[in-house]
Amino acid sequence: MQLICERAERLRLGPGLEPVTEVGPLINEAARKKVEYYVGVGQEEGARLATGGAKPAGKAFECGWFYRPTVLTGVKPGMRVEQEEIFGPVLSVIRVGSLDEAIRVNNDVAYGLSSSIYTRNVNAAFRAMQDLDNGITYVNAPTIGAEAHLPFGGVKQTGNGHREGGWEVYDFYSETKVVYVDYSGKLQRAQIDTEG
Amino acid sequence: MTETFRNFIAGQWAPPATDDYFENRNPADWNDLIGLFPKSGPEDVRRAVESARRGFVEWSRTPAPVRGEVLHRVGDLLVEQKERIARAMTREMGKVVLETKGDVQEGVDTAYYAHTEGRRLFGRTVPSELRNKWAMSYRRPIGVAGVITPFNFPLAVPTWKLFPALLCGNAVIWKPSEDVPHTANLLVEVLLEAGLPPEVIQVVHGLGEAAGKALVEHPGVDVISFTGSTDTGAIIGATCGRMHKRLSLEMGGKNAMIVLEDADLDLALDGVLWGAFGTTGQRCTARSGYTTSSCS
Repeated sequence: MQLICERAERLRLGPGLEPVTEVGPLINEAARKKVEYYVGVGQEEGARLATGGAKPAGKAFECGWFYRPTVLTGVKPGMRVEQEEIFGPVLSVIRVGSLDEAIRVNNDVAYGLSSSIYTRNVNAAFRAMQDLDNGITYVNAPTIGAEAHLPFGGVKQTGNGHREGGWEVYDFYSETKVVYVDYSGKLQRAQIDTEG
Repeated sequence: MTETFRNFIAGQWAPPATDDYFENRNPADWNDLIGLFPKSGPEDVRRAVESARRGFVEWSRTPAPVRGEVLHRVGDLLVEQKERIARAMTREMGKVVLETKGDVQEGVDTAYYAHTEGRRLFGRTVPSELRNKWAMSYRRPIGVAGVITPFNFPLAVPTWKLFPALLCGNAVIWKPSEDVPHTANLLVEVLLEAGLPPEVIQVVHGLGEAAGKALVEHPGVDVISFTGSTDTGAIIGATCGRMHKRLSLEMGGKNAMIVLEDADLDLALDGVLWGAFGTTGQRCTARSGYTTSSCS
């Protein structure tokens, strides 16, 4: 936990065009307000602000939509910060007692895009691949890193059953046409002329 | 002198019928005005549909492998222009150049993949239950696809929609996010330079509630693909359901990461930081739950 916070605090904020920058600004005012709102909600619900939780200080940040990388600890399943999409640099940390509980917590949100598991236990990895209710699961890798030739998308409130990317998207953008060619020269009735 | 950008409708860069514009500013420095972009309305969408229907007639009859060649050239041009497009993207969207270059690379990968698909698009041939009878299926183009994209991947996500739609022989009308309209115009320039017939691609800038809504509701648009919020997706879904339009929705995410006791913790730490704070947390796959297990 402490390591996460230390590393989060070391991330260099700034304009994305500067080579030393590691984290850029949010997209606009509404996005930053939303993040500020959820960090407040999380604390009201009983989560602890471990780091971040504010705009960065300094003149360099005055005219941009910057927000410090933020970590909330003590987050419990069912809290709004656990259930709702914040779309900003806020990490919620939830402690669970077992893999089963972790899977339950993952599956008990309305969304279902991606998930990941870090383990060296092959049985646990395969259990997770099978039981995590998402469109994509990563093993020993973060939930970022989809490749263009595999289907991308999620279940539940994340999508409506279609996938982007990969071979599946070509079905989405085309229509199936079925053609029958009868070259017998006579009327053949399907389902009726069944003697063959 | 503020630059004024245009829509791309009916084969040319066109001002909006509304004569109304919005500002596009750098999120890292809001004193940096990138330009004014069209705040389009239903009339702009109507013109785009009229042109796209013409574009579709020509493009749908172009052999799929030939359509694929155009997308191959698109990939080559994106490789050549990666640095320039990435910097423009960072300026209007905010994420670091390392990531916007990755965003362009995803477009390159998608273009080359689409190119090869032009020589597949497999149908199926199956036996008939009768003698002297042939039965098969093939994939044919649908018509005009309306594409609505978000700000967080200004180039990559649009290419996921545009390139397969084009490869399949459809014409596309694209309403990009009002936060990243400049990247959209740069991608259209690439498509045209690669040899895409001009009426096959249309870009209508503006806000979701005006331009986006008009696009979804226009009867001349057969397919809608939307990436964005779950609330907006529900509204689009209702309209498409009523109008019997094919619809692909890609919306919110929560994306838990589970770290078990036996995990390589250094690896997990690198992953959690990249997942939670990359793109300033503005990815639909951003890590927002991090779950540790104390006994596994």
